[in-house]
Amino acid sequence: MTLPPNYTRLVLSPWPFLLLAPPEFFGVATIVMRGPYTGDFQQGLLASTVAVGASLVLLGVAYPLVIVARRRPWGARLRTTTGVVLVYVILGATQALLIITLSEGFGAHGGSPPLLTVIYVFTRPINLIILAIVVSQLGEGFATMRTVNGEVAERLQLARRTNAMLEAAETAMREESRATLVHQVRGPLRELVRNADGRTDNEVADDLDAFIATRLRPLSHVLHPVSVRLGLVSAVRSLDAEVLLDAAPAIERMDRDGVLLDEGVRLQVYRWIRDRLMPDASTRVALVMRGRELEVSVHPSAAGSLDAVQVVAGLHETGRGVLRAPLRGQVPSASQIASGQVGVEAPVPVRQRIRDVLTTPLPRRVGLVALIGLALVPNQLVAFQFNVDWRSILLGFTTAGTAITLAAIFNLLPKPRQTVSGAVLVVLEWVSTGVFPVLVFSAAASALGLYSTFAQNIGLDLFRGTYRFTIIGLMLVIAHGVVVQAQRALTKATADFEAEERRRAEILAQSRQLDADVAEALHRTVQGRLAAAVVLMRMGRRPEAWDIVEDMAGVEIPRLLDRMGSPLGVAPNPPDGMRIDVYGAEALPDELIGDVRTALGELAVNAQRHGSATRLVVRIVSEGGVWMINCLDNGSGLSGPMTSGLGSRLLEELTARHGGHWVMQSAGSGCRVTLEIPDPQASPSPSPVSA
Amino acid sequence: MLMTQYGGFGDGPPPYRGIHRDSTGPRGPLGGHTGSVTVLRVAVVEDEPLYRELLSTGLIAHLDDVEVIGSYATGEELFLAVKPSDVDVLLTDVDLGPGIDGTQTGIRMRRSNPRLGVVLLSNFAMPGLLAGLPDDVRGGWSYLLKTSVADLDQLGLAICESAAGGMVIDSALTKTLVPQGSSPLQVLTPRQVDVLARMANGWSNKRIAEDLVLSVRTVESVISDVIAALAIPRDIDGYNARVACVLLYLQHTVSKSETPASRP
Repeated sequence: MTLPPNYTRLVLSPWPFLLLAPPEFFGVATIVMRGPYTGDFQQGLLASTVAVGASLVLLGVAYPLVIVARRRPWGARLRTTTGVVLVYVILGATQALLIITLSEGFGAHGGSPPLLTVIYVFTRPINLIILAIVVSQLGEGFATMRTVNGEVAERLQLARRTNAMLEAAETAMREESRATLVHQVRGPLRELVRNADGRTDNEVADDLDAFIATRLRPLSHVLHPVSVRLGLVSAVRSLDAEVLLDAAPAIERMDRDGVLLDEGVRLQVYRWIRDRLMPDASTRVALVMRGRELEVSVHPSAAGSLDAVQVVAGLHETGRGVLRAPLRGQVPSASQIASGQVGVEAPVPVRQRIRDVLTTPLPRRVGLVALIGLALVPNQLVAFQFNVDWRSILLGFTTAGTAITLAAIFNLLPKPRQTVSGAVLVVLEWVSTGVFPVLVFSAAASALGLYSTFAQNIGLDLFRGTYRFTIIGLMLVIAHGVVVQAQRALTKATADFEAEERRRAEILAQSRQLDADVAEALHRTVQGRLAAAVVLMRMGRRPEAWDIVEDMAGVEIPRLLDRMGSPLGVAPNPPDGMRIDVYGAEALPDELIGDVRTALGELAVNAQRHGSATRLVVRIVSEGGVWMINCLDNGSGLSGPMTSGLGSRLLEELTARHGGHWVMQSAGSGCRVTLEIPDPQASPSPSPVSA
Repeated sequence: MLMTQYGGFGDGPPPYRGIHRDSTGPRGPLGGHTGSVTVLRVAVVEDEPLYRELLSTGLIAHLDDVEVIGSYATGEELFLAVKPSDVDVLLTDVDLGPGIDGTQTGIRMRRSNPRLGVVLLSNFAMPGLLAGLPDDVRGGWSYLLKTSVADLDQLGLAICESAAGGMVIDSALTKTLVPQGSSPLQVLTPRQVDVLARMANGWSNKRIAEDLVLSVRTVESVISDVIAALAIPRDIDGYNARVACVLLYLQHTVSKSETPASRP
């Protein structure tokens, strides 16, 4: 996905010839019309039709031959830059000779001075080559635009959707896990603690034993299947009495040795099998190798679909109850990731695009090409219309000089970027570059007595002039602008894509971390210590045992719930090149976390964009039933009142939703924003607190 | 002395390790073992510090003829600290967190010391693990729930039996194990399954007889029938036939009460 930023690349195309045909047509017509020998309008049009028409017929015959020749092995040289130049030179010069000879037949020059013929034959190929560069530029620019709008945008969209689905799935899983923990662990354990008084050591030990056996142990298969760590086969076998698992000994061995599936994939395959089991039905599960994948079939199978985490793990279904999972080390490809419905950025409006393209400044090299083009054209102006005397030479140089000077001045003029005025200025300057030299030419010709019919000829002159200067100049600007804008869009899209990739890695890492936390806390700490408590209880060491139980019920499990309560935390993902530190977020109520995160994300983006901040420090404190979220950035501070932007509207809405508000003030070198939100747990109907 | 007749492992199940199995009652440290005994050297691997401490100083220390030579948090730690040949029995948690798990630790150590007995402890009811062990390390493995170790009798039995090549599956687990829908165990009568489950507990014939209120002779005949019904090869001796039966039993049963609760 890189562009060749080569502004001098030559392509072989019929377009330069065709683009040159209209000015040639009117050129011949005017020469014949105003020439000293005929001056007849119809004669002029006839001469143009014959001369230019013949040159196009020549093109129509020769061009296909060249194309065919380029495809042959012996025509390889025609595919090189030198070959392309050669084609333009030979074909262009032949056309020039044809046009001159034929128009001469209509008495255009009255004897066709050899010098004029040489100049025309020499300049025409150069014009063609300049046009070819412009055409190739345009082609490349549009091709890149298409890539950006198509492939890259699609991949970016896919990545965003995947991440959004992942986040949703992750959040759902956490909420589910949390609910399980609350209802199946915290509740029953509290109950057990309450009922312990008056029961004998052995009775309490039995209760605890039962709690572990009926509550905690089953969760090892549901909440975080730690058992999966020990192998898919053994975990599936212990799922249900009615499961019959078929797997070749080699597969079982690989699974046991941990080389069958990646750990994350194994967990997802296990979840998939577990979710497909039908209650009260004898189920056959078969594991078979299929190329680089493991095929898992469950029969009979409950209906269901893959969730985002499973999709990202590379799982895909090939039928009801039939799953394919990548073997260890086989990374899932992006094409396997299914699509979903997620909001996508609005495309840039066409008007904005035109403004952007037109106001992209030309690099000096391109300006140079334009100047060369402009410098060459007056030769023809001079050559065709007059005999070579001092007046025509003066006229030619005056016209060329005016054009070059105008183009140079305009190219140097500062133009406001990405604005309507800038775009208008660009168009105007190229129109001026086309029109003024022609006006100068016509006026000078009249003054020198070379024009008898100024009024009659000025129209044709203007057309020729504007065509050559204005149209070609603007084409050059557009071609360059398209390429630059496309490159910019590509760079941005690529950066966005990479950011999404990083985000995905982050979500998955967080997910793994939580899994590990839950496994550690619930299955090792809680379950392991409660097992110790049972043992101690049975040994008659009740006080020690009871310390453990109370520690689990009162500290460990609530701590675990806290950790699961705020899936993504308060701190948003910082924009590139920015760091966000959040202090005091632990106590923030669950219902505020999502909105505060969104608000902080918005603040971070604004601080970076408007104040070039690189750091945002957030302190969250509760004062008299109000959550004060103090945000301080290290940017350039307030440059003006921030009242109407999207960012401020968003902050307004996010805080007002909870009955709060926000204030912003300059704080020395940075900017301080305070969100004040009444504690939703303090009072059911909070009223906003004044600053 | 326990290991003197040990033969070495070939392709099949481990051979009889030299303990004369009789029907005079349960053996083991608390089982009235008489005569001269070698002290069994036990290494403990457990990642939960509290439980580890409890195991090594609170429980195993109370067993006769058993000595804890060290307790470790991970398999890696164990391998660094102990020569496999210095250990008779490895007592290890199955799930040791990240890194090598208890089963793999046992397999590795057993391959260095073929006479090693392994007692797996777990919070999870997955004794089927033992049926999935590689052929070259089968036999001599026991499986206890972590909450069951207060039963010193069973813990001692597991340590002793494992050291001798036998198997002890937690009785709290075998109570919940039921044969799978279609399995070789289907040919057994309920009585035979009852006896088989108690064989899995590592009980002697006498203890099985007492528990089921049968004569020892009847139990012996039931066991012969089980061995025949499960088509255990005749050319392995009685002790290994028991191990082979237990492995088959573990392979084709699942824990009924351990089916996962449905998600909320």
